[in-house]
Amino acid sequence: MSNKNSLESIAQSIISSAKPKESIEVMASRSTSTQVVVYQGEVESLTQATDGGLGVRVIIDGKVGFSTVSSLDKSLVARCLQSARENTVYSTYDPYATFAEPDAIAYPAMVLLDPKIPVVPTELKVSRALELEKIVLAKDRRVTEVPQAQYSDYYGESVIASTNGIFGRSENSYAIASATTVAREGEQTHTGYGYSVSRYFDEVSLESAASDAVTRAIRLLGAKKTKSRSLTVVLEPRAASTLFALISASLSAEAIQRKRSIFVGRMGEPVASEVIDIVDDPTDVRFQSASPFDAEGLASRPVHLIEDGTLKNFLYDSYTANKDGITSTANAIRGGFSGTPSPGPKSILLKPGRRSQDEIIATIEEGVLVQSLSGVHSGINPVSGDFSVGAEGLIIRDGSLAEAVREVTISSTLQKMLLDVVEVGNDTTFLPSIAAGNTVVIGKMNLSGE
Amino acid sequence: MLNKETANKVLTHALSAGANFAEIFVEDSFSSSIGLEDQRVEGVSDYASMGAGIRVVYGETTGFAHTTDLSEKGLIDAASTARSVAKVSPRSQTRIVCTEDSHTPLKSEFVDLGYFKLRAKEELMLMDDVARTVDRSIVQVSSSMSISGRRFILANSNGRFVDQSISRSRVAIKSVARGDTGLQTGYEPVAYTMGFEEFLDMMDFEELAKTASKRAAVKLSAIPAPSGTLPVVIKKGSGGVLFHEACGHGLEADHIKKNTSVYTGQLGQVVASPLVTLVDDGTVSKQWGSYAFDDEGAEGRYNVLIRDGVLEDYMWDANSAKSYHKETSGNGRRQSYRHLPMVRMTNTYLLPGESDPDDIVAHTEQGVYIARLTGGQVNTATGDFVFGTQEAYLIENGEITSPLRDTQLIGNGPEVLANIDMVGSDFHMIPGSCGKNGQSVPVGTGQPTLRISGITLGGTADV
Repeated sequence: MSNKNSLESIAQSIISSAKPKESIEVMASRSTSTQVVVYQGEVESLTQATDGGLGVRVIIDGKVGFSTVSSLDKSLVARCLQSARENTVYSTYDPYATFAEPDAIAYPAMVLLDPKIPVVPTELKVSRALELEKIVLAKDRRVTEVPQAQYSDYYGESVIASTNGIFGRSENSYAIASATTVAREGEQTHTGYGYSVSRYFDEVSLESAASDAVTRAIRLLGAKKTKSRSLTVVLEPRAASTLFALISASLSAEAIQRKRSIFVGRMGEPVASEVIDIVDDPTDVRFQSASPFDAEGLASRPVHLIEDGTLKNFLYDSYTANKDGITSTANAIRGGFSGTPSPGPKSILLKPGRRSQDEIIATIEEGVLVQSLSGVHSGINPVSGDFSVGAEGLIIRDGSLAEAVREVTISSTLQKMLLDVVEVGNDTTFLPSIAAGNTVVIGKMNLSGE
Repeated sequence: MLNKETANKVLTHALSAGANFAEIFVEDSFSSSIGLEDQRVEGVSDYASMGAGIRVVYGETTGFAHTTDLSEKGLIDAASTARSVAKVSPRSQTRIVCTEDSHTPLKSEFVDLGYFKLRAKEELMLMDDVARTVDRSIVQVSSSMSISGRRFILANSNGRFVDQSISRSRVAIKSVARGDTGLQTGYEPVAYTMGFEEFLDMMDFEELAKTASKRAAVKLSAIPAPSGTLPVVIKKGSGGVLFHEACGHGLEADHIKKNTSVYTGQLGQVVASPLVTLVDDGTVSKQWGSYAFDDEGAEGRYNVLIRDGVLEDYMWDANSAKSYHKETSGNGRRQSYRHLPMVRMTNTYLLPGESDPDDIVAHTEQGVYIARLTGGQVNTATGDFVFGTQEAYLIENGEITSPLRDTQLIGNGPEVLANIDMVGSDFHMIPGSCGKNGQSVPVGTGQPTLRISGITLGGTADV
């Protein structure tokens, strides 16, 4: 690379400065983003920005130090490397400390960048957001407010390199159109949020973002409080995605080694109903989070976590694998350059069943269709498995959707919920999340209301 | 970081396409943290960030750009990007001179990161020892300590020039207990807006470790929480999150402006029990959500939101205040130079009442006593909220009895505020982190022990 400012040359210059007995790993990123927010036919804000930064890990004599800087300024980068080195002094010696060792698996060829996103004129992006607001308001008279209609996009590149010989570079993009809605009728007010997201500018559908935002608000109108009871719970794909993202995080080898998971000591055992089959597959480009390599630079590969209800694998990065005397499953994740790697899920796919959501609902005598969950972080304990969250949705009565419910929680434990899954829908939906979603039916859960 | 001469040049450039307002926000921040996991020091890390955000406003439209290039050219380029949102017809020229000067009264201390890491390591190891000896059921302990500093210089076209430095210190510990019923966790964070030395002086680290371990251990014998609507007594401190969620967010003026709050049009009306006086107070000394100046350069203030149950005012940033011809209430905040400011809470708390806290429990025949709430979430347009419990007990015949497994409370803001029927004379505040539109800022919440006559619990006890 001749360009001195390229991420590759910045990373290489840090790596090449390694002293004897010193291992260094660098992750560097650069991105450009645009965000347009419109309100009542006017642009409320237009944000345009270029960000960059890097994170450096250093291992000296089994001691790890880390430092990060959200700038690619030369002097700040030099200071960052220096402080990562100094931080090794304070760490406890760890015999398992390691960076990824290159294995023989080649990076899959993946196209993750839409070359159009950087060149679409800003005016066109602004007009997409304005157009979205119009479409939303035209759909239903009961939608009285659109607090925010937005278009945002992002494109960026990142590089990971280490003194172990790791080198990976990838580029990716996404674009999203989204709207929040307020629907009113009589005394009732409900809100909705809808979006359409894609890697490709042309695949973002204003129409589907608008329908999503409108439907989710208006179908809750007329919601009533309901009596506490136990019943069948049907999770819509977005709600199921939230749940399975959380559950799969408990399959991280770090959570297991630290004994902070409901899956401790369950390897090889039935932990879920037979209809549950879960794979983490970052090579599947339908995921926004797809990537040719993991956060330590090992080639991405599918990992089968739960097969027909039986626990088959945990998610490993190099450190946790080293601790268990095995090799990494290439499941290191990190929150961008400013985080350190740890093992975790990135692209969770449930094996789809045969029936659509409509077909499933038609066979349920009494249940609740849940469109969204609230209080997920405070209401789910991934260690004990206690589960109690707020839910929005509609009652299912004699095979049809009936009135909406308000102020209810659904509760169980994660362990029981997994065993109580009776069906997975055929409607695999890719979302801006680490987990795709399907309609998921849980045989029995407690619903708390009046 | 930014001198007045450069500021004036950049602001003049930003305004030159006819903008009504322009602002430069230059920020230099750092944080340093150290963690103890499984009795090993790990996660020793430093974070640094330096950059500038430039905001240009034309009527109701804001253009925003940010950059890490703090040279005059870098700032001018960012200003050009920000002002590119300009409407076709330029408006009248605004003249600007940065004259008004404000410097932070908060002490900006020199931070020796090496000293921090050494001392933090000692204290974390002490906490780890204590946490493990509290109860034989404790099998895992993790803890972390961090300090951060943030200096910003703000210059705007109204002539405001503010230079503020803030230091923050935080410690948190999590204990995991194992028993026949599985694993249970106890978590306790403490955080203040103060330098590390002062933090060391005032902290009782051993006590913190004991609190977390006891909380985990006691839950091993917890029974499933009841489900349905019950009277709930919330111990002083963590219940402040109730007010943060149940009405705080709904009193942020951006929600009022867009008619997405149940409190729109309710000024001067009864919105809560007469026992409720709620304030948002950016001036509380050293609390997690405190500051001398907000991120738009306005002074932090003590604002009464609800007085004796009557809605007195909303919280305002410059943008929302302008629409109502009001003044900002010092609630304009942003996560960093990369973010646009918006209306945010500071330290939100309920003022103490007159009941003896013990009497509140004694006067409750059957119900639930919540010693520690965790975070929550609210829909401001409907007022519906949820929040989780982390330490709760049954109340039977006016006495606190069995511990309960973690559960969720769900309610509607205005309804719950009306149902507060006893307020204690005690008071405590805790730190938290508040997320809104993808931005996270430190906040404080607080409250005296109080009782809600009925709220829905989402327990798993058989119904």
